[in-house]
Amino acid sequence: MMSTANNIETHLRNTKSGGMTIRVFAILKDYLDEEFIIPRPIDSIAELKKELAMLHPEIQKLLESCRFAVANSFVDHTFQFKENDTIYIVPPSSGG
Amino acid sequence: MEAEIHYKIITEQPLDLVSLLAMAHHPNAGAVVLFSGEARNHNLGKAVDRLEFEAFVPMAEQMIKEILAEANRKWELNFALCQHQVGKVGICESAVCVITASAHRKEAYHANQYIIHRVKHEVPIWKREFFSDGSSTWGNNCNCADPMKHEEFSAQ
Repeated sequence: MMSTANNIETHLRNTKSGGMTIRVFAILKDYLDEEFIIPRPIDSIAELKKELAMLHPEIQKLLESCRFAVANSFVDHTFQFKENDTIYIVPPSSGG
Repeated sequence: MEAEIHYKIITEQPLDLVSLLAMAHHPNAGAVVLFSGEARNHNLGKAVDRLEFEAFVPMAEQMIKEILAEANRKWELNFALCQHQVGKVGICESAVCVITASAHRKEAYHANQYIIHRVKHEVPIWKREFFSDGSSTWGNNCNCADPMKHEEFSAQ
């Protein structure tokens, strides 16, 4: 599992400019680096989920239950990401 | 009421419940309710060694502030506090503390349940349980972001 993830992260890091920084938490760190770059612009949550699920099919279902945030605010499926945004992928909460 | 907050909402230090409770006393309050969410030694039929919590700290702190403000508004509280630990939490130790104070107990109880319910289900904090058999699991997924799911905890 981790070797596949590492290969993906290496692939994603090939280009650092003009892309999107992705930051993940908790269970998503079992599959992805805590922070990585997707080296091309991503417009929407749907596109991001599609990109990540293509690279990592086992997180497709998990991504459907995640929330997404930019600049410390949750954004919905209509939100348009800007180039060089940092996107936070927030798994379902389990505090307390 | 947007109360000033004089404590760390998310802390890496063990919670000091006595000190937190000492902050809650208020001359107008006849009721103070303290909830402590603690690590128990079993779950899913297995023995639990410890818990570890992770948070998206800036968002978690901001969301808890907003939840406290909303509870203050709904129940006209004299005091409301929520502190959550991140990192390792041992068995019998407190992971989260919610304190509410009001003139009468009904409001303090309702507000306290409302706050902990929303914190557990909405705020980006995650629990990982470490079992005695060496395995571990992330907390049960729950994503009750839909405010309609909180009707039972709305103001009476």
